[in-house]
Amino acid sequence: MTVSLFITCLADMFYPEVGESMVRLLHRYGCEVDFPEGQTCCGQPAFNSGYQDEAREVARRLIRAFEHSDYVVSPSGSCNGMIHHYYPHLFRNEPEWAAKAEAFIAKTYEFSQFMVNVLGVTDLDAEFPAKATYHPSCHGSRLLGIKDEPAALLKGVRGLELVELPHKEDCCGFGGTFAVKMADMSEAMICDKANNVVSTGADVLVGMDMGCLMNIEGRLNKEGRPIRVMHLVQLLEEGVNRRERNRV
Amino acid sequence: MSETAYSMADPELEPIGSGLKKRTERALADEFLRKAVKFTTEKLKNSRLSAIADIGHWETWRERAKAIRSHTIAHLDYYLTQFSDNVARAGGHVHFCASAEEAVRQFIAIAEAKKAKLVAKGKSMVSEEMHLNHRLEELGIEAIETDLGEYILQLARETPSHLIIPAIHKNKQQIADLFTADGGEPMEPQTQVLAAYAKRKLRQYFLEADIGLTGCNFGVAETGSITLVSNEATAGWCRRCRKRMSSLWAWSGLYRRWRTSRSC
Repeated sequence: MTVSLFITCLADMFYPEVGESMVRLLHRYGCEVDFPEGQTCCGQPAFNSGYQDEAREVARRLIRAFEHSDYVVSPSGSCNGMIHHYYPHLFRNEPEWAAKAEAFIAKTYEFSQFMVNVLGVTDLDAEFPAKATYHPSCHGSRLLGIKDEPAALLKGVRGLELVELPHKEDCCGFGGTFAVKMADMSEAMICDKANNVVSTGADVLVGMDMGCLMNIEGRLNKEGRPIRVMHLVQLLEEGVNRRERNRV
Repeated sequence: MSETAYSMADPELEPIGSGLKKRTERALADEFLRKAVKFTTEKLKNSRLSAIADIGHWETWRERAKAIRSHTIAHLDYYLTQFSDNVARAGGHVHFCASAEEAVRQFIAIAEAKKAKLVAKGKSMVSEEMHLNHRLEELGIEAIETDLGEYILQLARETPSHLIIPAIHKNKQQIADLFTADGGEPMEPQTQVLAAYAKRKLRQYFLEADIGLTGCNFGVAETGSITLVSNEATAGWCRRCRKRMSSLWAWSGLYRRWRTSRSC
């Protein structure tokens, strides 16, 4: 099976290690991974700011870039949410592009969905002795309906104690351009989120969207909290490596 | 304790949606408000979670509710006619208005026909959005909000912070100050004292009101019924007003039957 990596802007620019972890994990499950270089952004920043024509241009570029892919996998519920939820709206008046968008949607997955629902994997034989709490990002959980997949993957990790994050469904305050346009309100929201994370006593905060994780990590660092912030793929890959080392 | 003036002092000068940055800054600097919002929203969220746990099969219920609502909206013309016919059968009349302005004018026409001087209002957010009170005031018709939170805000000449927790930004001292100014005698900032004052005042309004005006959570087409959830019995009191009982609501809040069959 060949899988195309849709890296997404934030992972590409700030967290390439997330993409690297994902590729190595996919290799372990027999996936060939390619990287269509024509890809750029999903168009969400433009779309959310009201620039629909510009968003459509960016969306066309992304669809074209993955035209020949069988599967497209990304480390983001937010970018995938944009594709699944708003591409049909963007191309509602262009039947030819609407059809292309539907074909693109049908083969595009967020990482945890791909692992659990396509590859059928929940136990990666990983080991990660730590107390972790999970933040379900708004777009991933609300637009894509990702609920059980990350939990299933985390439950399979040996030594990992998963604790519930209070009011976990609350937004972290990032919200893409929201954090820039309404920085004051965004800061108030991330303070609440950080307090909730700290209250769990967890060593690790795990999530599946680098926008939210960048925001939460920034706040926790600023407060000097010794809590590691990790993308789900990073935790899983580190856990798989640890398990292998321990076995040898 | 701090001053709370971020709600609009004059809706004509500062319409909803404007001055957001300024109001955000003020609200964020208000320690009392931050605590009150946190306390209340967490209480509401936890109550919701425990209600969900009690009911069970929550997502299935939500899907069902969505299907019922989508069905009714898809056939809205049919169900509105059915609703209207059933209201007429029960002795009422449904006025269909295409805009907020038309609805305001329609209500004014009813009030004038009944020579109404006092309207007791209970939980009508639609009328809040239409600025009905101001229009009635211009015509010398007094409109009193009888939901406690909204009554407090009416005295303060502010607009609600939230649909179901309208006066969340007001503390006891601020409420005591408002009631003191209204009643003309000093009042202690104690819940029982304040509630007793409001009860006495509002009962009198209910007894004297010509028209009772309520909101409606949803209408039921098969019976021509309207429903309203209230924890202060305001809806019941509005219904007893002397000359007329009116209800203002948006068309989309209509359902087909009291009980729905599996095939729905």
